[in-house]
Amino acid sequence: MLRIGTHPSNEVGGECRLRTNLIRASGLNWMGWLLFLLGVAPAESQAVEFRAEVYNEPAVQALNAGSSINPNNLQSVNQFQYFLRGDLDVKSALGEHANAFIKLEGQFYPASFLPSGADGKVFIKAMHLDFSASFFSLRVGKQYVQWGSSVFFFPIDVINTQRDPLRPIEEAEGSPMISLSFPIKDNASIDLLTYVRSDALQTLNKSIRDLPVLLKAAFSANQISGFVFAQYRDGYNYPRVGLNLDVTFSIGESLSLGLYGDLLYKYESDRQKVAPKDGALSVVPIPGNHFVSFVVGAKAIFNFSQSTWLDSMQWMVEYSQNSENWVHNDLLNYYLYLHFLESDLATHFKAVALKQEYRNAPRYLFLSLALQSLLTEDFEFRLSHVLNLEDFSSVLIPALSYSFENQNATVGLRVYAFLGDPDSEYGNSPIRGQVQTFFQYYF
Amino acid sequence: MNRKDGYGHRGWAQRLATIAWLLLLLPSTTVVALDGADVFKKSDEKLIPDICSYSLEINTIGKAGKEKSSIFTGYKRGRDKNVLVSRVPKKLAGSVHLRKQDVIWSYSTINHQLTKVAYQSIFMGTLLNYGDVMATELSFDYDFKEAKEEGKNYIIDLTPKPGRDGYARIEVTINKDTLLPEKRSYYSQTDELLKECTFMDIKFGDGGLKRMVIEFSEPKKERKTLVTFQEVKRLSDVPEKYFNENQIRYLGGE
Repeated sequence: MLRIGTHPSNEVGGECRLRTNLIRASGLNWMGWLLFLLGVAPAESQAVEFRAEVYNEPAVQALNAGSSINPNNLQSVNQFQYFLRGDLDVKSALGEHANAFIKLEGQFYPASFLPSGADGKVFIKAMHLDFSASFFSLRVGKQYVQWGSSVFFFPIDVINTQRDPLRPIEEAEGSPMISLSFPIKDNASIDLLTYVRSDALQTLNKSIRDLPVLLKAAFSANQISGFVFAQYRDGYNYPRVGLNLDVTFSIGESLSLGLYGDLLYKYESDRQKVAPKDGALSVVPIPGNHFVSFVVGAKAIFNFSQSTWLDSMQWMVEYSQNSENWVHNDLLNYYLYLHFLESDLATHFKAVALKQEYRNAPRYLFLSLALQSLLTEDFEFRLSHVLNLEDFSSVLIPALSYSFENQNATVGLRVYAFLGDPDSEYGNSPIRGQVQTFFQYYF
Repeated sequence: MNRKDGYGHRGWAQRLATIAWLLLLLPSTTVVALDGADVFKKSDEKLIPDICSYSLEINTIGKAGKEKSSIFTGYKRGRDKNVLVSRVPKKLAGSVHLRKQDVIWSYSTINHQLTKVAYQSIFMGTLLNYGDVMATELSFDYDFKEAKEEGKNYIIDLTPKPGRDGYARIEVTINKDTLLPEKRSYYSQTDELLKECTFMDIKFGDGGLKRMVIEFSEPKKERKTLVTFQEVKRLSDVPEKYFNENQIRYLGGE
């Protein structure tokens, strides 16, 4: 949405073209897979379920001419966008122990923020086969896996590295993977996953050794639950290890409270930054070893059973700290580097991608307040705030939504306001603010 | 016949008559002294079978008749394990809710996230909380406190077991003849009435409960929620992995 050079229509469009070419090269295109599944599945299945979703989102934005990322609108970004998305889900049980699922998605930008203008594509958002026996469950295919308990910062999400938390979760795209799970009674499991990295499609044909492997052990005991995992990949000197812990409980009959923490340790960094080298600014690897990132969070839900104008209030806070993140000096060097590249548009565009969202200060805070069924049933007001705790710049996101048609339809409004000093992370954002309206319908 | 023999016959007859009267009176005196805890447990066990599958429909009718409907397929195993797979609304189809001992889990197909939910969290915009929906046998979470008789019914008071989440007090009205619940009233710690439910249309067939409708209402909210248990089928077992939170996404297939 907000990242020039990494806009979904361009970024994912590039990947989609490569993916589509690869599928065509295999001799069996996605339409063939769909017809195969729909043709075979009903003969063997007990039921085929269909679901569709349409989503449309007009949006306007105000640009920041002083932004180092898009100075004086160097990238010729537009101020109006109209985004359409449609999904078709097909799910079928294949006998007693197997399921098939496919999600086709079409995205179309009749008008786009990016200078490339109208754009569109159709692709396979998810497609997997499940097989379940008494002592294991297997899922093979493309799927989105939510990793950890966090709601905004995802330090331990080593799988979905390119998800934008400010975009609707329905837009999150998964990775092709094999997931094998061994349940242990009803309170533990051991999982083994291997997947194709979303940033690694270029290396798809190189070697199976490029595929990361994850080993995860999950447990639960009364209100406490969690998991530990280790990720191995060719090129790592040491595995990356992570931990999740979660506890939820009620206090009285109106208040429920959840506390959670996610932690990741990695020996080496695969990120880069801009730093002085031989008297000039250059892109260099982040030096050092032993990087730790974590979040701790809390979620409280208060029910108003005696109120006629409010059903419940949900409050969330999440603190994130990451020793691999840039610090303010790194951000200033990056802005200066971009300034020197203004005369070379292509190199400037490439350098913009160095910056990763919410990874430009050691510490961040996310706060959110949601009021459900405010004044009238199914009307929600939500206010979220992302705060950079180093330069105190922030993103403020008020949002309204109303659901109807048995919760299948939602209309809403979201506003993004970027606040801060001109050399801060969000004060230097390429846009000052954005307003989106949306309509979503499932059927 | 001497005076002693005549007296002896009459004495025995009187004793026999007294014993007969006592035997006739015994059942009613036994009912009065019936263990309220036993009544509560028997009433609980008469409802949803111990191991079964069922269809659950929840309809909330709001102000101006606005209606919301959710349909689930449920699997129950014992008093403390219950899993629901969402079918309607379409937006949430495939989502799964699991109650296992003291913990409730929810897997959403929208964000693919597995979260732990507190007992008192509101369930999908209804008048119910997760505990109301997922806890099928009150006797697992609540202890008997006291009982009294009121006309054709027993009135049983329940309080949460130590360490368990729940309402501060539940008052259950149980029909003396059928031992089926007729009404439940849920109270806060300040003894304020939070919500009530009325049991309607309870039907039994071969193998036990076939259908049951429960109507929930809250004094201050201008809406009601109807919960319908139907298509109840007794099963010999439900696989243990159905109640493993790390496996429930496979139940919904997404």
